[in-house]
Amino acid sequence: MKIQNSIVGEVEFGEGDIVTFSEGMLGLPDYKHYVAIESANLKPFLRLQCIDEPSIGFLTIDPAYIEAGYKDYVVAQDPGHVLIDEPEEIMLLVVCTVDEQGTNVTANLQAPVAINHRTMTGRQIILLESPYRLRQSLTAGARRREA
Amino acid sequence: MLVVTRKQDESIVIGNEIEVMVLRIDRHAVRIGVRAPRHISVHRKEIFEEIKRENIAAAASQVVEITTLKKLIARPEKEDDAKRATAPGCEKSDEPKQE
Repeated sequence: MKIQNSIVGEVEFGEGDIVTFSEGMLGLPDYKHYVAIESANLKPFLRLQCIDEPSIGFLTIDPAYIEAGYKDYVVAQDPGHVLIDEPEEIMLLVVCTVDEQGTNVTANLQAPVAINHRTMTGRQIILLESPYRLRQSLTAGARRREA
Repeated sequence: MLVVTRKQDESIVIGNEIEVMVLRIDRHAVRIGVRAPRHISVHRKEIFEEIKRENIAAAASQVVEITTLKKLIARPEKEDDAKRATAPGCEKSDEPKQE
């Protein structure tokens, strides 16, 4: 199978690469199948690309790039979801948003995406009462969460 | 919408598995406890809505070139590396982990 758009170019993927989000991403419940695309071009970003609709996709980043202890925090907090039962199988991604001017990029640390590599299922988690922000800036001088 | 009156320490049950209890009543706020199975997620609505909006905005924000974004986020990284180079023994704890 192939997906093609201006961000990822043309990418070939197999059945085993498809991650199923049974509830979709928050706000986009109808789109349930994604592939996480890593490439030298995108690095350090990954494109979480919907394969049901090529125009839908998220620019994401490994939260370890932003905040070292983040995954431990999410696993420890365990927001009540089954995905966290196998922390070693989970890859966390956070969704990035670029403003209209293209001068600021923020990451949503309040609602990380958890992908289970063994079951190839994904779910967006909402952290309750966390110190992390919905819009953590990744641009100059603002990369780390303020204490 | 179903409307019921409850006093402190009283609750309502939704289906077989969900219980919503009034824990405390103040003048302007009510403290509520929710008991629900793990697969049911419970959120403050305004946060839930905000995250939905953020996702929709993120899904739409795909016009910017990746190279531009890399430049935006690359700057502080280089400064950090320079600082580390002058501070021996400083661990690179915030480097991206490869999964």
